[in-house]
Amino acid sequence: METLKIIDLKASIGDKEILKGVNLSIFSGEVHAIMGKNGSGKSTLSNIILGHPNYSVTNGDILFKGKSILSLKPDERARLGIFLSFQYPTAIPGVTVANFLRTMLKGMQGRDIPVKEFRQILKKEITTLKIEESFMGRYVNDGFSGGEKKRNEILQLSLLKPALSILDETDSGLDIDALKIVCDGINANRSPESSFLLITHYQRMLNYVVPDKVHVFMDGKIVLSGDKSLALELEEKGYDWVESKP
Amino acid sequence: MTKSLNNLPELIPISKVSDEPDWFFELRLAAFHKLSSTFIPDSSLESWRKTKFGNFSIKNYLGTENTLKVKLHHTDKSIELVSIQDINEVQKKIVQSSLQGIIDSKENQFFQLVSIAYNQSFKFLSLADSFNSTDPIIIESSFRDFSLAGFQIFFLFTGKNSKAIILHKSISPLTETLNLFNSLFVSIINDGSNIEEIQMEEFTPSTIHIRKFIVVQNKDSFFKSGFFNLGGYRGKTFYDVNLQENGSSAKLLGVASPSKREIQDIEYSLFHNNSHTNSSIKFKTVMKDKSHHIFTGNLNIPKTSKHVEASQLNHNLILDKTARAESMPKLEVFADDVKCSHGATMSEINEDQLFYLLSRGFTPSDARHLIVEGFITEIIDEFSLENSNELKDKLLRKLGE
Repeated sequence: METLKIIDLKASIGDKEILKGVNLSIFSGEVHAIMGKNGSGKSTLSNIILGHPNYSVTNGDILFKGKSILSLKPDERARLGIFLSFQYPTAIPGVTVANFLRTMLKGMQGRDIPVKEFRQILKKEITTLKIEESFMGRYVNDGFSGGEKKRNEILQLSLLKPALSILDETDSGLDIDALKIVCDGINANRSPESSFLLITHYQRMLNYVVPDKVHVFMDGKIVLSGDKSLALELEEKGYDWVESKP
Repeated sequence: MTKSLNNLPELIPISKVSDEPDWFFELRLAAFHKLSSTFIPDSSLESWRKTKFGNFSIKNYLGTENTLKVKLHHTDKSIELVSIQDINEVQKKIVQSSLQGIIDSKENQFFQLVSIAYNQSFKFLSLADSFNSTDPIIIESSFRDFSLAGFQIFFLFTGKNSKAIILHKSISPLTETLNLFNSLFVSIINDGSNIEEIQMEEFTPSTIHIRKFIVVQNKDSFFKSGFFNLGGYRGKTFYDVNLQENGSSAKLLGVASPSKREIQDIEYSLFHNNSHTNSSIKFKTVMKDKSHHIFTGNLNIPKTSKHVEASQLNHNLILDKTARAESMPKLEVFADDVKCSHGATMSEINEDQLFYLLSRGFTPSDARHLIVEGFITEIIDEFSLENSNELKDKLLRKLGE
């Protein structure tokens, strides 16, 4: 059964239609990449999968492990095991990373996690992501560099181990070293039980996190799908090449 | 002015208390006489334009018992709160000149004059030169049983190069009729001292609180103030900081969390009376129901002060559309060599923050709680308070969060 199945999904914000019939199937353990120009609607797709209240779905369905999630609220979708790594994670001043992570785990697991156990879980993950312990005392995303924000997103992913992770332009704003660390973090979470949807503008991230399938997104829908070689072809020929295809 | 003279208060005579020093009684008398020509502040005064007390009548509180219970907690037994009968010559001079200054002031000091004239609750805290303690000095002021009034005068005088954390808790009872907490605080922060002072106001919905803080800072002193309002039916607070000498610096932080039909009004006044002085204000308000909060930030930099930096920020988080926040920066800058900034925000719960937390599985109410908690924690975290969680819980409980 597919982890995620999107069927002829149309969605709009106000009167403007953004998604114009998206079809996509991701099976357990697979990594898919959606590539497309800015403004093509790929970030909107990730927000809609999570149920962002600003968008309305006008047609089609989104199935997670075979069941429609359209009627579920964002937090209910998250608790089912859908995770979105934001392109621009929001700062929450006054809330420390440690407090945030512990409360998040408590909510997801439905139990209070003893401090000692929390520290042990955390230690393993922050080592992979080369995060210093002092990071835990800082306020969530407040004054973080681009790299720190993305590492914080992947840290949450590592702690939650969701069945489906959507990574929205996780590579943007990262230098090559930071990109490698973040990608190592993603790869460490790959397993037969977890699926990934990478949304990206460039191919460079796909050198580190190798996708099973690549889709090209254009004007609110997927116009072309292929294997990882499609990403390389796109890099070489540009998005205009897809547009000019019959 | 003609209109206002009509509301001159009907005064209850004062008499000398048995063991009260003569000079203090004379000061009280002088304040009493000044009161007879001072009208009760009303909307004709800029500072009192917004805050109205409804049918509250000061007369009901003047002749009554107004002694507060004042308790001191500190590990260092050498620290003591001195009553008016026991103050020494140095302290006497400070009290005389400060109170005389208020009595002679051309501005309407009605409630401060009341505090002086009818005072039954006077305390003086002195810290020795080079006093240094990281244990907070906790001073708890509360009403005596069945009292409806608390008129307080509190003096703090720090020696040179002293370092201390002072936590004032002011507590009022829940009573059938309104009670009045009227206080006057004077703090003199001496050369090189570093003082953190936290005011925790635990007032009930039946309390009217009118408070005046006067801080005078000497050379190279640093003063950090935390002002946390946990309620009260109506309140007006004046917080004046005089950066009197070179190199003095003040950091003023605060949180208020009005709910129901409360009106809380805080007015800071910063006087940069010398060069190389710094000040910053950061005040946050979280409001719900039909509450109303007023923040005023007065800044005065005379022409003679050089190398001055001053900033003020006021952030308001409005949880219900029926709540109202007002923010008024008033900057009078006559000097050239200054860096000043001010900013104010009014916002509801940030949608991006909310969605971010929902996407991490937080329920809408948990997400909202965390955002509000974060909003106030940013201020509370600035203080080395052992009971910061207690303070946070109280503020959040007040908001039903």
